[in-house]
Amino acid sequence: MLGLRTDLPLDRDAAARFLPWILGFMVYLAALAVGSALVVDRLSDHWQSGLTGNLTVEVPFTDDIGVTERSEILDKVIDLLSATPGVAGTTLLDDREIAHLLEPWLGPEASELDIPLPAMIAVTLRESAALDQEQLQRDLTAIQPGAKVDTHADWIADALDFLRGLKLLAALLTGVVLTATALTIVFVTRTGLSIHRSVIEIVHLIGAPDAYIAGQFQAQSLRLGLLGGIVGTLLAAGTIVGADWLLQSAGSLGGESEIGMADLALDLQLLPWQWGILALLPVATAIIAMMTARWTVLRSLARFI
Amino acid sequence: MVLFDQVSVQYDTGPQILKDISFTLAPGSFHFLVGRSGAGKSSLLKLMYLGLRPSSGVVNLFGRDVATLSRADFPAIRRRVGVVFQDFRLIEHLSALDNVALPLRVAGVREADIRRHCSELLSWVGLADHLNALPATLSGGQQQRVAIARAVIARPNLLLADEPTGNVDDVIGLRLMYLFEELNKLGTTVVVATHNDALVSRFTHRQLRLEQSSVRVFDPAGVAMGQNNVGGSVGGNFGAGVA
Repeated sequence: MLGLRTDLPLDRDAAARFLPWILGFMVYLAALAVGSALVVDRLSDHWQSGLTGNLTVEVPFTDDIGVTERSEILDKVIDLLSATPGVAGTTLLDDREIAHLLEPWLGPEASELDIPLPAMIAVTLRESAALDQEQLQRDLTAIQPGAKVDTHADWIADALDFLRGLKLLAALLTGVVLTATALTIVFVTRTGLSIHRSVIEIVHLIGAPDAYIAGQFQAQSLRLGLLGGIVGTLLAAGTIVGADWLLQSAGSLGGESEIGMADLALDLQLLPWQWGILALLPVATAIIAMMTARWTVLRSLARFI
Repeated sequence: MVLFDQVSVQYDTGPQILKDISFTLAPGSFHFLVGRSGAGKSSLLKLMYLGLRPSSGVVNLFGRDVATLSRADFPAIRRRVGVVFQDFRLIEHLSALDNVALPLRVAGVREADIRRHCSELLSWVGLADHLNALPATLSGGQQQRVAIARAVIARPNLLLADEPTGNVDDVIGLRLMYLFEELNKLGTTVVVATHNDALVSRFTHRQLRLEQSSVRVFDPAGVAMGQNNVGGSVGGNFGAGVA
């Protein structure tokens, strides 16, 4: 099947010698794109479940409300939340944590600025709990006007849109790379056909059908496709693992914040089945290369006498 | 086996190579194809191995009109025809054995049988010590013998040889002719194109004579043996077998 003995010296063609390199490079790009899509896919699942499992309650205070009054209101809110079906737990964030959350917008001195910061309560929900959000909102408004529930729905929708866009981009890139791979094979095969035209003519006159000649090109493309595919995929796997390592070492410097931000941690790890998909890439490349070579030879030879 | 009816060949805008050629080759016959260099011998052979389509007229091979064949039909017909090309057309990067093996491989014969048959035949043509030699390392005569072995290895129904004795000495030339005769006795129809008058005169086979783009069939059996008829326009038994 791999055709080690061939009537055509295809492996000696200059274009064919470069083929594994070109294919390796193409597959590297495709593997990175597929790998990114798989990471994004996993992250979007992960983020979605992380974010739908909790919500935030924001309680604003005006300056005329005293500290004692504030803590009474907050106690009421927390009691309300704890009594709400589906709520697993609540955490009142202190000023430092709120300041930390606002840091990206207000800078590191957020807590020292003289602006009224709302109290924030992180709420963890039970899994598959059906929370009556409207009722909760009404109850909260009754305790403290202006208090509101944030389910992160808008944020999740935006984030998921973004991730979907990334996946689409990765799919598009993979498609472009595979098309370029096929075109490369067409070019190399056509070059081979014209270089070996005289040998092909002899083999034809001896009675070889087109499929016999196509078989030799197919075997070569299959072999080189597999070789380039394996090298490209291994390099891409190394790149993904290396990038993840860099990201993790950079991330560990920053520390983690509350309200489940740990669930939003960005990493580039792949699940075992996702590695499996990546491992199929060299096989897919080899098959695409083989089929393209066959199609090119049969089409070109149809113009021979 | 082979029937030509009013066949003409003209390459694009060039001169007419063959004009209104008509003849028949019966199964199991043996013909010399003679004529000056440039008379169209190679073109006539090409028509018989589907290397060329006629500009006009009918070429019928093995009972099938070539004009009605599709490309997909060509391999099966070509496998029934063995060709010794004037320029050998050996595949340079393949050993003598692999060159000879080609028709068998194309036909899907088992590899073990291929090696046995090919080395036997190469030994018979005196190349036992050159099985793995590349064509470039062989002399002209040796290459010609490889080419002949490749043409006959698959026991074709029709054997076409273009100047098959051009590069070998008389002894080997005769030996190759005997090989062709052996195959002929086994039923192969043989056409040997040559301008070697001495060789032709040693045998009594019919001659297809190409002159001025047309062909005449000459049967030396009809005249006294040993007489040199070739090139003569008188004597002999012209016309036998002309369609």
